Amino acid sequence: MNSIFQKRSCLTQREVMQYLNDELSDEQRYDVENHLLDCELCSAAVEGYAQSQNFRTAEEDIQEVVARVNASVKGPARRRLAWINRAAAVALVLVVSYAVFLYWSASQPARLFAAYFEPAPNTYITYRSADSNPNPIPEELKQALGYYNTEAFDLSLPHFKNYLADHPDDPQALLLAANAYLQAGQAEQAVQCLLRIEARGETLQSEVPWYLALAYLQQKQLPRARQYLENVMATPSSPFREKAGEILEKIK
Amino acid sequence: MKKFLRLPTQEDRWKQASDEELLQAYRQTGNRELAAELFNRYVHLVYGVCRQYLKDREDCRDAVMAVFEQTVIQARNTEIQHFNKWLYSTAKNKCISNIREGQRNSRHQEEWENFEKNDSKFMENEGFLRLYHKRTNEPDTNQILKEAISELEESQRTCIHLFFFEKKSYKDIASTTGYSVKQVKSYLQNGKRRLGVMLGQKFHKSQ
Repeated sequence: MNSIFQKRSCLTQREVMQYLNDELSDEQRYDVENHLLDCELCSAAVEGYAQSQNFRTAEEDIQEVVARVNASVKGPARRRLAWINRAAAVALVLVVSYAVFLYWSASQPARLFAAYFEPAPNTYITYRSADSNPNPIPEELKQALGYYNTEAFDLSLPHFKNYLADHPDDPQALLLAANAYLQAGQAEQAVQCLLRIEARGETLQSEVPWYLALAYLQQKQLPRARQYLENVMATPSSPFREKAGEILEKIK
Repeated sequence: MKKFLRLPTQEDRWKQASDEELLQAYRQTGNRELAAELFNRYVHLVYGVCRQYLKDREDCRDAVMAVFEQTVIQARNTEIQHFNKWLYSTAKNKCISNIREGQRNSRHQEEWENFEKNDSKFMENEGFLRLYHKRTNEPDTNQILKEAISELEESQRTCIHLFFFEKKSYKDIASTTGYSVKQVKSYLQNGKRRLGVMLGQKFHKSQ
């Protein structure tokens, strides 16, 4: 019973043609004819097509009318708008590309630092028994090394600082403190520690330029980083030459 | 990239919108492309209506364009409830106006006669059923519907029965009953309209 009053949308051009050509199934034909009872527009249109009999010319006419309708609404204002849209799209693409390039460029040193930094190993000699140690390690350094060995670098830093206040020229402690600073993201303090070792000019001649280069990378100071990487390359015995060469290639 | 630069795809969204949404958007923005999108959904039907009245193809195309121009103006300023019904009235009136003008010029006498001949049929078509879609799910609906059908005139009852219950086509009903196809359609339209009215009264009484 519901089908008596069921609603459907108006007929498509194809449906009109199929209906008039008896090309619909019984079910489709019933739907169409039921709709025709309620829809004056479709009913009159079907009558009109049935009278004209020439569907081909009708299709040509409709295409022409659609073209005229579309042409009448697409004036110069729209073209201007479309041009503006395109220009805005191009500008947007350029701005986004430039922003991505800037981000990529700016983040390159940080990415290189993260890829190549490995904390220097603790080379202090510790003894199992305090009695057998001819030079017992000061408590502050002991605690600093304890944290350093367990990679708790931020916790090691206050103890290194206290220890270095009393022993400002201990190159090994300065190197480890610099590494702890680098690990904590405090490149400036790391550089100060490393420059103090460099000023002595005696020890750790492979490590100091390498970690200085990494510290300057972390600070995004590429010219200085490049300068110390070239120093590493100029030291034939440096174990960091290969890595320095790779970085130099990437920041060329 | 080219597709992206075409920046879009408003047209795609329009195609998915309902008639009401397009009408509302057109009223608010005045963007004639919205009116065109809506009109183009029915352009083949408007053309068919015009073709019924106007034999000359060029007159017919011009009339369809005139209906579109009227759509652009009217849809902006007035609230149209049922766009297809409004289009039918507008197209028909435009054709009648053209024919009258042609008649005054003695150029379209034949079309006018054609209109006069057909007009009575369309007068019968006005005021279609609009109620009871929800109520047809109620349990006593079938009984009420049967009672209403039994109260129809015989010609209407016969056509209603053959069409809605035996699912016969207009042509089949015409050959079965001896009525012309136009008569069958007219009986069905009037019968269906009367059914709607009677069902309304019966539902009203039953509440």
